[in-house]
Amino acid sequence: MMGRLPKRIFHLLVVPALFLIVWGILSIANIFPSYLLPPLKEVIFGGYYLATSGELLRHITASLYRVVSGLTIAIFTGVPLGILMGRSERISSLFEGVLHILRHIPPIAWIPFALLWFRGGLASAAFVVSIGAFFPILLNTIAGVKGVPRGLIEVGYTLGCSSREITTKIVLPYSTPNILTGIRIGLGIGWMSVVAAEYFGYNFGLGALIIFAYNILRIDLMVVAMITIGFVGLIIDRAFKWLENRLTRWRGK
Amino acid sequence: MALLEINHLSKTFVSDKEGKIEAIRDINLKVDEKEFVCIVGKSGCGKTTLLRIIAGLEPPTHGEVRLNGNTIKSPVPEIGMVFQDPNLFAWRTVLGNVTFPLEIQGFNKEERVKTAMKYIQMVGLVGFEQAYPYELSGGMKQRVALARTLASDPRIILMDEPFGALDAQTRNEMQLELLEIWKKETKTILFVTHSIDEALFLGDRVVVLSPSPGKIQKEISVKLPRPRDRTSKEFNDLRREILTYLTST
Repeated sequence: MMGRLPKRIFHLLVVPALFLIVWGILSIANIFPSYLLPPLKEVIFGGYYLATSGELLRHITASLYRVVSGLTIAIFTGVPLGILMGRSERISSLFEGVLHILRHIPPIAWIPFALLWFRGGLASAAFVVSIGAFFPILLNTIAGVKGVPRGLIEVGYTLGCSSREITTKIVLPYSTPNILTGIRIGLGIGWMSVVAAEYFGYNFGLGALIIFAYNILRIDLMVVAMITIGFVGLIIDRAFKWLENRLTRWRGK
Repeated sequence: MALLEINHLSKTFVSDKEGKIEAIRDINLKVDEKEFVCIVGKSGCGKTTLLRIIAGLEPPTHGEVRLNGNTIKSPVPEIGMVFQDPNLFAWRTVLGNVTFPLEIQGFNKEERVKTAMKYIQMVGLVGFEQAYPYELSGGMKQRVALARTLASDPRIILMDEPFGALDAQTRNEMQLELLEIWKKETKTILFVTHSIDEALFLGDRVVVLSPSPGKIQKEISVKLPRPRDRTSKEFNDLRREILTYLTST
């Protein structure tokens, strides 16, 4: 009999293994031309080459750097605005209309503007990422702030807090779990947005790698880039989730 | 002059759905320094509204509350409040909760911890300084809330059914401890409860409120020596008397 954990790992691996087997069989059978379905062997070799030459790491770090920059902008704009909107009905109604329209414009729609305004480089990609990450951070912050029980705020006032101290010492810490969730969702969207942003005018980055591979018809390298995007996305999401749990241990189970 | 003076206090809530609701009408009450006054009444008789107005959390419709002659318009450091819900800061430890008001008042870290430890000891929570609220029982949480209010060093402590959610035994223990603290700290306490027993066990005076709208029905001085015997004849005579006032409306 298998224990619980080995059983779970076994379950997790079943579908990917089947997938690889089918892919391998299709490659060997040579049913599809290689530009439609690159042979498994080529993708493995391509991945090995990119990984060992250090090139893949350069693409990953370039993309990560842009995501972290964009995310930072989104945090420093989304959290303060979220707190203001969550605390004040008036400010909320002032911004709500515009924000709810902007929210539905996908980050990729901003790419041409990003290139025109910032002329490529870090700023353009970071701008696109920040648009994608901004809304989940803003909306989760607002939800957190609005959820602060009235009793906690009243206790704050009877203990001598000023309005400002209510915000910094009660509302902000109370909302951290929501804010962190917003940042984690924003990180995920930012990671997807950066790939699209890198399609135009970049030499490095996983999005740039996809377009480069496409242009020279190296479909195997395209697939390597895509798989890498998936894995790195998973790792940063899990890492952030871990950080989130550590920072909000006070919530208990 | 009394420490706290409540003059002709009335409060009417106006809501779109239910129209006007008169919560309390023409309340007059004087509380002296170091007095322990209990307000007893059925739920919905405006007890909480009265305390909230005294705390400065709610404006009155008519009348005023004066502390040392000054009208209360918003919360002041001299008046502390313990709510039925402990309202602890979940992200802070027990120590962090108790140091909170000291932090607001600008004490340095050493003084904060020293003062907080004094009150943590007073409420019997030594050994739990580093625990988070989710790890505490209901009674322990309310002790932290009391320690936190004591640490803010108010002259008057308003207590709104603080032991209402606790089981009977814990409740009796907490009452005894509260009396100890009240003696030691020489605070003025205004304590709201729906339990006649609790009011008689604690108060120098018991104020009986009649409901809808809340009005003062009767004030009774309790001259029995402490700790009071809940089974004594005198205690039960007073209990019967208060019960008749409470049921007469």
